[in-house]
Amino acid sequence: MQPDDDRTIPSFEEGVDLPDELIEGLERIDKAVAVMSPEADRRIAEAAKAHFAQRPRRARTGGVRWAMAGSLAASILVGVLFWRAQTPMEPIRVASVARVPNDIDGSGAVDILDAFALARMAREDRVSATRATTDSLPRTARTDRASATQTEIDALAMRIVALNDSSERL
Amino acid sequence: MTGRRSMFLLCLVLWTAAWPGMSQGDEAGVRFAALDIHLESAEPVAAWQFELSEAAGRMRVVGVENGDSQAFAKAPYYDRKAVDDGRADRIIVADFTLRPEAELPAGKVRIATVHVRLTGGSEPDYVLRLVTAGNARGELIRASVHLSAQSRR
Repeated sequence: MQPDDDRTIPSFEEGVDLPDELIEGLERIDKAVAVMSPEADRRIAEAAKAHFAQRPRRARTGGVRWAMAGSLAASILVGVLFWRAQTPMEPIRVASVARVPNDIDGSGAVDILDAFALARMAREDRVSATRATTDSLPRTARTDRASATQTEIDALAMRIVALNDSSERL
Repeated sequence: MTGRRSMFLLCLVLWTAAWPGMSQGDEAGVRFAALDIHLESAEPVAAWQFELSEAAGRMRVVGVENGDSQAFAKAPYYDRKAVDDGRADRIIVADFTLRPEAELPAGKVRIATVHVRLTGGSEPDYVLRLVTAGNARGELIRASVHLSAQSRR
């Protein structure tokens, strides 16, 4: 292994032998760049200022106004979209109808047809359970809905016919 | 002394004997009626509900019994406690059956009889309203209710 100082790399001044044409060409390119004097810089700045001073300032102001209006509109739009996303409007009305207590058939009113619907559902569940047992179907094939008992059906029917001033509903 | 006691006892007996009559005088205008409720429908009926009242509130329901159809053999649903307490100046009566459609009544059928106690001398103004009626599938059907009264003293 040789030390670094043993390497002999020739410098341009001593070891490079270039053709004269190339040296002359390089010298032409390597001329000193004309540095802009402070005076020239000041004159250019004044000329630019004078040039742009002639342009109407209203155009720039209008642009700013449009930008502000656009930003405001975008903000309002985002706000409205966020509010709509956070506040379901139509589903509330639908849900309120569906959430009437004891409105089994979804008619919007609670009457004897709801107790009748509950009784029919219970009967269907019983039939399904019996059929599943008879056919040896797996339990998962049966309905998981909790079947109403006759007591619950009667209780619903009694609530339906109860008078408002009745203290105890049978 | 014995005569005075006898006179007192006689007065007491006479006053006691006269009491039911006096009581009857206080209850003048009270009478009972049985109201047959008929439901009329071209389609077989599996469920029904009606409401009965009297316009002037002179009616108290004292009992409800079922109608003629074997499909509705049991007593219908109504507020039995309000009736027992004598507070039923109106009544909501309803019933349903899970029997097959072939066994359901159609046409005009008595679905209930409502027994009422009436006060006042004027004729009662009954208000009968069919709340709902449905077929075996639980669907609403076109039907109407009618009332026929039988007065009983």
